[in-house]
Amino acid sequence: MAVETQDFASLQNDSMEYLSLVPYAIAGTLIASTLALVPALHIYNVAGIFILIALGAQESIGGDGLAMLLLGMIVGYAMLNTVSAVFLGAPDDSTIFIVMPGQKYLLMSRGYEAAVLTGIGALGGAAVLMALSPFAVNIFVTLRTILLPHLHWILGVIIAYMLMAEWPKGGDHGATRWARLWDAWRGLGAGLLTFILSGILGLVLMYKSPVPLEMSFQNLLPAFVGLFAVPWVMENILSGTEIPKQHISKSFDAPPGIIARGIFSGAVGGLFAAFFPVVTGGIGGYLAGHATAQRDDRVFIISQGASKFLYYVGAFCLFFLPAARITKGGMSAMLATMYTPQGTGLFHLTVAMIAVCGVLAFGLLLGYSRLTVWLVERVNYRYISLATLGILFALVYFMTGWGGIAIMLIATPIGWLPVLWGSRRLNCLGVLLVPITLNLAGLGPTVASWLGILS
Amino acid sequence: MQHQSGATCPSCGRFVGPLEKCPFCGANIRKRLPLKFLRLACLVLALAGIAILLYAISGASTPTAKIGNVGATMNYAYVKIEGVVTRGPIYDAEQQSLRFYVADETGEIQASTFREVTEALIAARRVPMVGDSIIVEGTLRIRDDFSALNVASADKLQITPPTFSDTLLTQIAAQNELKPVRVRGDVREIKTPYQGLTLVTIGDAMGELDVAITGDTEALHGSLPAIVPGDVVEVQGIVTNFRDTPQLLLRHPSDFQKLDTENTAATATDIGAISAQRVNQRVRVLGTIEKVSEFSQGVRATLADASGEIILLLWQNVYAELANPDALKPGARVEALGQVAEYRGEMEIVPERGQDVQITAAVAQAVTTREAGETKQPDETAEPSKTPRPTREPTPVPVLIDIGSVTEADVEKRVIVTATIVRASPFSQGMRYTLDDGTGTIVLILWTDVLETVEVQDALLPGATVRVTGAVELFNKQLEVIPDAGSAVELIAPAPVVTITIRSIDSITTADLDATIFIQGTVNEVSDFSAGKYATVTDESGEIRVTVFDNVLARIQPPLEIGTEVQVEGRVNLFRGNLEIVANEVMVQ
Repeated sequence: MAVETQDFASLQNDSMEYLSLVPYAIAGTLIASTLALVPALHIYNVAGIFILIALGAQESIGGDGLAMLLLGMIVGYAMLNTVSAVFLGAPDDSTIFIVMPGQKYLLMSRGYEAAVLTGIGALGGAAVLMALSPFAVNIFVTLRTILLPHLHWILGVIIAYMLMAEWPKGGDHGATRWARLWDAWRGLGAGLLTFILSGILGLVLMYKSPVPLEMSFQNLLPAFVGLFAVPWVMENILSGTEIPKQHISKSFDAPPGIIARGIFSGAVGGLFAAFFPVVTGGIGGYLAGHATAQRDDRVFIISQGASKFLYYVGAFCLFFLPAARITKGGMSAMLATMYTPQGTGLFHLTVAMIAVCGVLAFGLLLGYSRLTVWLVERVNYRYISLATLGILFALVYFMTGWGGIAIMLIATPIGWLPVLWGSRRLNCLGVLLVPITLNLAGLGPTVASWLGILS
Repeated sequence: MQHQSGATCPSCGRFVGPLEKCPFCGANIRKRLPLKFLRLACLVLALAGIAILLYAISGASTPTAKIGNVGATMNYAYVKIEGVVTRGPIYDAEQQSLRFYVADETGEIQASTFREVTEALIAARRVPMVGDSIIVEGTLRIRDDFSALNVASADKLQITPPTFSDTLLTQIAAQNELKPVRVRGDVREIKTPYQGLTLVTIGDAMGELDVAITGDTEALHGSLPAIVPGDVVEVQGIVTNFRDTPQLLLRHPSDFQKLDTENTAATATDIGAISAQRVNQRVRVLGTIEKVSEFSQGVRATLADASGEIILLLWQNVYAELANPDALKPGARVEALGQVAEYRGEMEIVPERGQDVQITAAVAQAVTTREAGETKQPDETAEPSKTPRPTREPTPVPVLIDIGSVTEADVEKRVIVTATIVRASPFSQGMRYTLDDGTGTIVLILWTDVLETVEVQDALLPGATVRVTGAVELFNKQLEVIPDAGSAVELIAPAPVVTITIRSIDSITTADLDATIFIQGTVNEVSDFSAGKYATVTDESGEIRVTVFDNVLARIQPPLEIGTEVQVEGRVNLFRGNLEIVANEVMVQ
């Protein structure tokens, strides 16, 4: 009886402690949902600022509080980063596939519907996470043990698939044989060149980064901003696109079958990206899209919503997995430097907060999408893009100094290559894939020496 | 509808007719820059940017980081670290990984190599060893509980071996940690405290020192040469400390060389030449036993040669190790190697192990043996001694006292305490208990011979309440109460009945997750993390990691170190696919 009383008291204490963490998660969702509207502002960059603040104020925030704040942020961002991708054409690597169908919907005055469809996909992703949570320890620990020795060749296969999947392309236009050859290889060559150049950039950042040592945890920030954000912003400024008046629909063209297919294919890619080292949401979505061959735009948009939610939130959730503590993704990597989660109770709280914050973020998605519709109909697209460019420069300078600005400027034309030459922007992920795959294969320093990066 | 070329906006594709500016998107219709130029400019910029970047960084050196400055925001930084190897290497043949610790003047960090780098270092015989000065480049991996440097390649590791200086064993002290030294002596003892560690005790005329050879060193570089006690050897290694006691860590088996020279430490010293100036020196003496008497902690014998006499003090554990203890009788010829000590003006020689005492001849004479229960009397010398022997002081009357009120001023006073045993741990010469009466704690020492006469010996468990009469002593700044007879320990209340089952490590499975279990074994690795320490505990069946958080760590006395025998009570946990124990209590034995 005494033991039962003690257990109950202990449970009560734990419950009160966990309840005190809920406001942090809610606050994180509110902050990130709002910041997600800023085009091209990645949540990992915002989280980087929070980490810097937390290093100074760790005692007042507390490790668990900070973890829940970041959890809320990543849930909010994973749900709402679609808004800037659809309405402002400013994707990160996880939303690059949403831009094309999103813009298509936008030009048909259905931007709001596209944003909501991704939100439905993200909610589906949250449901998948919750359904998997009771078995997560067994599944992921086993998978990790099996896959760890094979990472290098699996990544090699992914790279080969990414590059080879662009074939065949063109080759049937042109008056002469050389013209047709050029037509066939123009885009392919640009894709390969983009992959190689971004790979070299990745090797430089890995071994001789101009980013100050003290900010190495944001080493990739200027490269990602240059490869993904700046080219889109510049393109928006140069093209001067005008957005047609948008319709705020009361219902959505998405029957249950379409939603289920979208969530299924998104879950496949998102979970793969969440778990598998180096693979990002963009690659996960790309592989899932190819694997499930969903051609319907609605299925595709929903699947991308589910995929990016599972990628961002799923990867962060693995960090709290009892007995495993898998560190995957930028948010986990940053938090792991200063915090170690303890206990199964915190994992259960994490899953619960994903549900709560997911629903909250979905509500915010509806509201913020309407707000963005109102904004893009009234404010010139160029002004928004110019302001975005200013924010990006300021962020890169603040986090990484002039060295980071230099990297961003070098990365920008590389990121622009696929846009101007008609190849996949996914090739820019060579910045991650090349150095890490080479390192896993034990060849990183050797190749870096060939390039003169390591003497 | 297909519009005529030039009638649509090149930017948004809508019909604009003859207008020079698109009314829909605002783009200029004429004087436009062909996209072709933009494409080419982008291509040139991309190539030129990377070329300039490669050129700019090709001459730049890798930044050097001070270990103490490594923090959370330096995660993934590629840095150079300069320092001295302080621990390791720890070699995992299965994973092909090497771990070692590097320290500079600001801190210490673990460095790791994996697969190809490990293979290259082993093949090139360039494995960093303790004492090496190294310059190493790699990627920092920062975690809340752990920071490490992943070495980029074998080429990025420069090693400068230490220069060894000839040193006498007595000159080696705890403050010489990490000093490279070369010493000579004879092998006194070879022991294996646990699998993966061999300790060879070497000594000279002045002192003794343990030489430690780890299993990792032998796995990487081969086994020690064949040696037996008595061999004269020259050893070079790095001074390290084990519980504040210096020892020599062997870097390579070839650093342990057997010499074909005379064992100088074996030369016997005249007993009469042993004076107070030689206290703490190690001497070998040869003489005849004149008298033997037992005392609570061992046996005292008077050893004499033509030049004088000295007390041969054999602690209980040493006496128990004698090959022929029954031969230790008056008239016996004894050769003894031991440390010179002075006790109340009387010179003693104190051997440290049984094999240091060779009883070569004996004649039958009666041994003076104290009867059980007999009050210890001051020692009497049968014949006049060349060394004056003081008379022991009368035993004071014990007083009942609260533990909290016992101070250093009470040392040597006899006291009575009534308290609860909160901790019990064995040591080589008896048992050590921690007593708590609510006002404070004190250590109760029961020497083996006293413990054997305690009637309630089996009931002396944590939780039991006892009344103890004994003398207060101070050892390592810790107050102790030491009874001189078993009858001085009375059981007031027995401990609550608790059944403890010590589990073998290989019996722990995932079925035990979250269960509280007990294990017992030897600590063979200790590493820090922000909230405590990780200790790897080994028993005969296997090894397991024990996570010890700071709150538990603070209660562990003596501190957790490699080689420590421990009993761990903790909860079974699974961490990154591996079973571990999160300690609730660690008792050092």
